[in-house]
Amino acid sequence: MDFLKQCPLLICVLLTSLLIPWELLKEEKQESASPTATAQITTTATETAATTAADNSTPVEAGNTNISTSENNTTTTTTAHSDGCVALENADESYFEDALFIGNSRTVGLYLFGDMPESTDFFADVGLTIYDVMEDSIEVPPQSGSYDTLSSMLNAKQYGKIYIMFGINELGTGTSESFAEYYKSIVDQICQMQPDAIVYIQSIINVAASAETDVISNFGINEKNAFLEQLADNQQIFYINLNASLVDANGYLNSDYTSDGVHLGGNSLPLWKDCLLAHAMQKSTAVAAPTAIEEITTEISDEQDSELTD
Amino acid sequence: MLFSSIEFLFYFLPAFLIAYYVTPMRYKNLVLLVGSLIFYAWGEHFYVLLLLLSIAVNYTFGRLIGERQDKKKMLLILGLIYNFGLLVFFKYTNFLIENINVLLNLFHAQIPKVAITMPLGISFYTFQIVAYLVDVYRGDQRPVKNIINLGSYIAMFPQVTMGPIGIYSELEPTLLKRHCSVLNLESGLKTFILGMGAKMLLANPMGTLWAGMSRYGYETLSCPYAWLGAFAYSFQLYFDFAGYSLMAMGLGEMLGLYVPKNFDHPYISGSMAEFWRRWHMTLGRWFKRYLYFPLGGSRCSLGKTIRNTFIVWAFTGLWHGASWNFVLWGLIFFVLLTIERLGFGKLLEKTKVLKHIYVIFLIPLTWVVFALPDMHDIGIYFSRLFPFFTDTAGFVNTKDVIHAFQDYWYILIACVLFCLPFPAKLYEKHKNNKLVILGLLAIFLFSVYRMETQTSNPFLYYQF
Repeated sequence: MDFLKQCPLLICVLLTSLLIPWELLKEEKQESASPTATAQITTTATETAATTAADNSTPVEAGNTNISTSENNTTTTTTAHSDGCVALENADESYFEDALFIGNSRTVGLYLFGDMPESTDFFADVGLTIYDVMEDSIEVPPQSGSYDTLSSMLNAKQYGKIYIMFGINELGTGTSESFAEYYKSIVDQICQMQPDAIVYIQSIINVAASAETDVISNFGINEKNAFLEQLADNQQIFYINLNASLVDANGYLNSDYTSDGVHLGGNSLPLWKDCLLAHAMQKSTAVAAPTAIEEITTEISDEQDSELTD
Repeated sequence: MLFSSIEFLFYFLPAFLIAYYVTPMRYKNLVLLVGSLIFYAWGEHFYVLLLLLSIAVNYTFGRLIGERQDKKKMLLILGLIYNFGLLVFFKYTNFLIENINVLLNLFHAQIPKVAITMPLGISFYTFQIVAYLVDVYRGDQRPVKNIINLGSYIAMFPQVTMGPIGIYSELEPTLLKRHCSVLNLESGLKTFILGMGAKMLLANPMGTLWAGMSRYGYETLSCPYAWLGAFAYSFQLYFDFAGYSLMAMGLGEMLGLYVPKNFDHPYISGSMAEFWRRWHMTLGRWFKRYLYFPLGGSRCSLGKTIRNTFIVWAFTGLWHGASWNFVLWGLIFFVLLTIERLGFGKLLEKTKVLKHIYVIFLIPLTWVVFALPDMHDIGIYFSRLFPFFTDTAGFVNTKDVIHAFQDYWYILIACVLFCLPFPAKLYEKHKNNKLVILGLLAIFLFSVYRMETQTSNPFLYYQF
């Protein structure tokens, strides 16, 4: 047939188009979701989140939607503090020396331009999410060319503090509940592997007005942060609200601190570090009775803090 | 609807092509017009009514200008007021308010901004309409009697969103009589796929590289990384817009319609004047025909020529966007072109290598001004490009450029190659070769893969 000879490309394109595995592509898109992502609320990630969370021995309470204040007892909050950790006044940069930072491109910025101590470790990559933090092998330290996984880092060294920040890349995926559930399962795994480390959940930093899109909104960020705040037990796990010192009157990330509206600029990182140091904790019983802490932490590790009322 | 989107490729285009090809020749233009309006309404909803109104209004103006020779000047002016009025209203209202507010600040007063979204493609289709009206006024074009033909010219979907900016008399022969066969489909598809590859496989990765520049603030860029960023943006802009233009040409071929060429390897130019004969050729032609020549062009005193160049470039800058950086960008070209006219161009011509170095290093700098709407950012970026006078010790990441090269070296090499004319020549010679066909198929599939897995990929010129 002449037609076949005349239009080979047309025929090839038509035939192969019929064979494109759309479902597979959709799944891949899910995985490559980045801060510029368009809304892709597909089921894969949320499903894995749910199953992993369910597999976990720790009961998942924070995932529930109702931010209930019924069990609100502020007294336990303060006593819990004194049981495990107390606030450390006048912490300086040496506080970060035995710290591990886990996060996405925002944390990469802290590594690159934050002027952090040599011994501080970073497990952070552009586009990394809470959903792949345990599976992915990434460049450690960032942009170094050598690769490592989080679990091997957690096995290799005892950290004093572990700072976690995720959430901006996850805005287009799942719900705030499923995000917090999965986040909790990761935090639990980290706590199990590093029982002596203080774990900090850092709030998702808000974005500037210029960076708000259908998917990336401070509304979504605030909602996720409210759930994250609940994950803190204020004994081993603490929540740090970074936004207080970074946002303007309307809740937007102050445009002086950012160039692209999402990441803190290199010269604004001291604000972030100062905020972390202002919330630094230390083990209260670390010197007196090192064995006691373990008992306490295991005993009350499931207890929920319900400081959150708003 | 983007050309490089699944909806367009797998829903709109096949459905449209079937309808178009089964329709007898007499009604093909009607199918084209209706299809184009559906295409436009898909993304722009009610602004399609504005497009329809403009078709009706300008059809009437065209007829009136042709019939009422005694009042044609006044009619033309009215037509221009209507068309440019809409363009200014939708594109520049907030820019005007911003600037008035700067003055009003002295008196502690403010005008609130208005929530206007710009109709897609208004900068492009307004220029097509004005070209038609002026041509009718000058007697170069007979007024179009058939509103479907004029509507097709204004709204036809290959061109309506981002050009190329056509001229009615060029399109008319194919609009009235054309040859449509599967051979058109085949050759048009080839052109289309080349454009899609340029957009998806070259422009988009370069866009990611460029977006990384602002991530931690321009202060943190090392000097070589800042230069890499300027080149990355230059590649992105070129392959984005030239890719789009190729797709438009390919669609034209598929439909048997003439769509003018918009790019001719601009980065191999030896002067700024040559660059603008090779970059966005249809825009340059429009300004020449409808602004520069009427002002007297270069056939008058040197002073007036310089004045005319200034006016053209101030408007070229503003056409690209309602922001001062575009005006500054236009004025930079005014200065460069004037210097070339005053003798520097003659000197350049005598060199073989130097003239290319001049273009290759200067053009990315102009694109930096083009890319950054904030004057303060432009200042910082240039201080990183030329870091001799600034001291930013501590914040600069000296390893950034190495890291970027590790990720992007193969795409950068491809970009450089495809800026040169020889791949295109090679392709022209062997475009029916089986290997080339297979290559095109691979580009098609890989581009579709990217469309489905990448998260966003708007065309840069959509905003203009």
